[in-house]
Amino acid sequence: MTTTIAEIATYLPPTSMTVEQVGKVLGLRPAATRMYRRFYGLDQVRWAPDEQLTDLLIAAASRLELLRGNEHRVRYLLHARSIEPAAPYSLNPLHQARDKLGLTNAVTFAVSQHACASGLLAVSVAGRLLAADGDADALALVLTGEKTYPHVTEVTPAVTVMAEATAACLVRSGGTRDRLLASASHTYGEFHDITIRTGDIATAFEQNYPVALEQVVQAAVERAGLTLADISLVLPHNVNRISWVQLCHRLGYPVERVYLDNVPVTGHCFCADPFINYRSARSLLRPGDHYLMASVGLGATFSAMVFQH
Amino acid sequence: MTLPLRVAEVRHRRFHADPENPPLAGMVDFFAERIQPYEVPMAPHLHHERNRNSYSAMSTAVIAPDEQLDLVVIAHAVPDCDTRLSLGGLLSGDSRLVLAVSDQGRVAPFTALRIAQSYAASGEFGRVAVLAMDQSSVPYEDPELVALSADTDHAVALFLSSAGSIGMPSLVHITAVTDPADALELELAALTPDVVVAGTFVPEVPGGRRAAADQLCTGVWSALAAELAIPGPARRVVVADHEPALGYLCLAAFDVPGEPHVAA
Repeated sequence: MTTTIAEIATYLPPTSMTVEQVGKVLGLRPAATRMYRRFYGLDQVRWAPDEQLTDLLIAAASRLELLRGNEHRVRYLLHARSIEPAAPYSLNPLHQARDKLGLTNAVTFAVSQHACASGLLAVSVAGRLLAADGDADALALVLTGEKTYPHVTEVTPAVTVMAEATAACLVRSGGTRDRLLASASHTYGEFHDITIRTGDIATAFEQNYPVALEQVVQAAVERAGLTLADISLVLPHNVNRISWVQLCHRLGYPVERVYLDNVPVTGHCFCADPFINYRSARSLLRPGDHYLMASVGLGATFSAMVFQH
Repeated sequence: MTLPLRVAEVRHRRFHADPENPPLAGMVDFFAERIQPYEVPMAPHLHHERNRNSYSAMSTAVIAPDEQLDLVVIAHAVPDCDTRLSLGGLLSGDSRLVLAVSDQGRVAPFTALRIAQSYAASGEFGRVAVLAMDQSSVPYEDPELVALSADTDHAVALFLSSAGSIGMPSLVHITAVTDPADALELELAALTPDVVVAGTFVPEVPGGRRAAADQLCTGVWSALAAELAIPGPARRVVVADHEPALGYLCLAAFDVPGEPHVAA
């Protein structure tokens, strides 16, 4: 059965901070902050200083209209993690969220190792689990988004600012709405040391990045039996604007069809970006339109998924 | 129900302190930031005094770089003590799909097995390893980790393919378990095992093999490896584990042919 997205909801924490304010918190040099604003197209990020991970996950999931009254149908609850350790072992924020959302029938677990591309991986895992079970009535809930900390900045390439918005994606096997047509993913293991930020390997990653992203985008589109011209909208990760402008140039794809409006609003929200962008850009999609979600994770995994709305 | 993947081999490796293994730069601070909001006290000595065996190092000792695999599903209860390396990247080889399951305590390997079977059902992923790992070098005090062995870490890999000699007739996840004894009795009556390999919190089963209490998610799987290494007649082995803190009872059945097939 085809994996479909039944609904996506998001939570944008109310606190907006400018990249200059964030720079002070993270100890960034003023020159770096100016670079974020002028070169990478960043402006503000959404942080939730008074909320913990459980709060952020519940805030997104509780905005799902289809979830209310259907909690018993949720067979799997997945949290896609960029960075796996989230809290002290025995506190388990994900299972706290499960209990507070009333998803007592859900087999609940975190999915990781594709870093910020783990969100698309989790949709794939959820769809395959539901398909194997063969229960067309069952649902899976994929949660994305994490708390950010200063150490995240130390391993993240200095091309983005991390933020704390979250998304909840309700997945079905079967159905007609937002059908997953094809996906592509490739991990380049030579970049498995995520602390390397200078030298030959860092340079190779920078050079490989647009090539690898182009390849997974093209592969997903071809597997869907389409061409790029058939893709009405790209829902990207919100790392920055310039990398998507450059990728569009390589692909010969109009940058106006890449939804970049959230880049200066939310910042890069770990695995949640494509889902946040879906919610923001939903009104741009007409029934039957094809769209593509794309993410890149340190380590380094490049992933793309093609859906039909 | 018969699941598409069968077990071809189970490997269990133990890991101890390595004098050449230095403290992992920045990792105590990494955990300090992540647990600070929860007001749990740090215990850096647990990091410095213990083995500091990373899942990267353990996994590459169990799965060879040239091992023919389409998919590796990692399962762990305790977080990795060294997140500076991407385990997914390290194990990816030429084109392996690698993913990890966590936050499920002792039963994470059962979910990893379920994911592996679901991927194989599509026909794309025929050669799979499910790799469960435990390590104890976590730099904070946690009441649920006190029983974990301080000096021995474990990795258990189940290698699966459609050609494996050991069939998997059933894989069961029960959620919201409040009476594990009742639930276990019902499931065992349906599965009719010859041998039960039971985790620490699984209610007593007559004649069952009890897994080591100082392992978390690897305990029943290393006990399965030991069971499979015993020569004997054809038999059905059921592996059962209970995670009381999260309400899970999981069972996996294995139909073992009548000779020793697997080295522990």
